[in-house]
Amino acid sequence: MEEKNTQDSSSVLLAAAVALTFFWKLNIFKESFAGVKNALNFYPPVGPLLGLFLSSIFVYVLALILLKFINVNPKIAFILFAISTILFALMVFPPIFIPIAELLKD
Amino acid sequence: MQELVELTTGLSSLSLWSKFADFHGLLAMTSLILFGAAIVLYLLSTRASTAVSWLKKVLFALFANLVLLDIAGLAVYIPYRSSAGPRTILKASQETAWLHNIVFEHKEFLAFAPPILILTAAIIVSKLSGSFADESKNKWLRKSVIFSIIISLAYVLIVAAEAVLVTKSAPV
Repeated sequence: MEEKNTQDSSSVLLAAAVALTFFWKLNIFKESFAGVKNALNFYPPVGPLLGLFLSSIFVYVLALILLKFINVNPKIAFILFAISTILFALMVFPPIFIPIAELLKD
Repeated sequence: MQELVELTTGLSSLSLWSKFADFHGLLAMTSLILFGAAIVLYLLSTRASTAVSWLKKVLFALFANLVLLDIAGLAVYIPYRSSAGPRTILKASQETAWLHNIVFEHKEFLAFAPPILILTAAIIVSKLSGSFADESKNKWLRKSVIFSIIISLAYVLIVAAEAVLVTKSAPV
């Protein structure tokens, strides 16, 4: 039972890493492709931000369910989680992601 | 007495959105108390048996607080984005456009992470329950929890600082 709880906890870390990574990648695609931006902009008063948040929450919940079946070492899960968390703050910083989005446009 | 009348009149003359933006700020301040409690309870978790149970409760309360904070933030985005709103005012001038294009954009994206990180920490503490106090057995998962709390706190502080920077130039 204890081992299962450790395994579940590690998969929760991975799910968070997946959601954060999905968020910044989708944000770059949103800036690069008008179609993605329009799809996320289903409620114009708030803009595509709402679509970005809801899509990432959906991916987080999906990852929480699916990654339950993956057995991962807690140390590796922590390292992946920590890298994703720090990377997230950098990749949503406009001076970093805008040039990447501009590159993808071409 | 004159001041009290002035205060009441001033507060009642504020727009509903302005009051809502203040409530949004209040939620952010409340989270700081919960962050402090979570850090103290984490440090006590190896010494006092009840600390783990309280840590779990505080983390779930903090998660609820951060979710409400994000929902309020998304709602305040409606007047911010309106045709004569702060976004339009900021983008109209080259001197202030960076406040929206860089500072505000970063603030709105960064705000996604804290609820996810705190929910992650809350689920881990909840799953491990009593064994969370065992430092040798759960070394990496314990590290994950304190890492989540500290990084979330840092992100909330960055978001708050960015919000102050923007609203000083163009309040909602």
